[in-house]
Amino acid sequence: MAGPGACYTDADLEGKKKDSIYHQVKEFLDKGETLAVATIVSTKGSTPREVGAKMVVTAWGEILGTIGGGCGEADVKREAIEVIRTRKPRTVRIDLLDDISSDSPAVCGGIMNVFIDPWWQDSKPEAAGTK
Amino acid sequence: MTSLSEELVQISEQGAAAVLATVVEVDGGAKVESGAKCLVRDGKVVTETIGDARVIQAIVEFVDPATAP
Repeated sequence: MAGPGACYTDADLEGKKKDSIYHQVKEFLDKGETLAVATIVSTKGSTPREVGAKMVVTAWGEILGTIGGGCGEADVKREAIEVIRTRKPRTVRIDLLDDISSDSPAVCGGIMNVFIDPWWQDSKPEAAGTK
Repeated sequence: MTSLSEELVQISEQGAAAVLATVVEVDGGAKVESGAKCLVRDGKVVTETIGDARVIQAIVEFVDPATAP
């Protein structure tokens, strides 16, 4: 049983382990779909998420996870769909300075660079030692 | 053969710690491609697509400085 102040019970944590972003990625890959994994690789100033935050985009534009929401996330989603189409990774610069008067919580005034990487079943690396 | 996604799922289910390094930028004539990956767990390479031993060694040393010569 969880102690005082705990956010999750042990059962909740077990469920979360089986519902990680990687479980969802594997499900899509097993179905033969190509995905784009967007990762924040650097930030400057105030940004909604930290370096390492990930978001997965499907070919249909479905999003798993978040890199902060708002217009920046929409830009990344659009680029991600292009990455899925071309299967070529790219880094995009998301400038959150543009629309400082917006009510969006994602407008933080900073800049983040997001690496968008295509994943598909054939792209899987071999286990070490099998080469 | 174990895929990267299977390894990541296993690590997640075990609640284990690991590092997935991804090449995000390449300058000059390096033969490593952007998007190449290396999964390191317990100081050992589990799976990789980088293909350059020096780069892999640098990643392992960065992840676990105790492995540096």
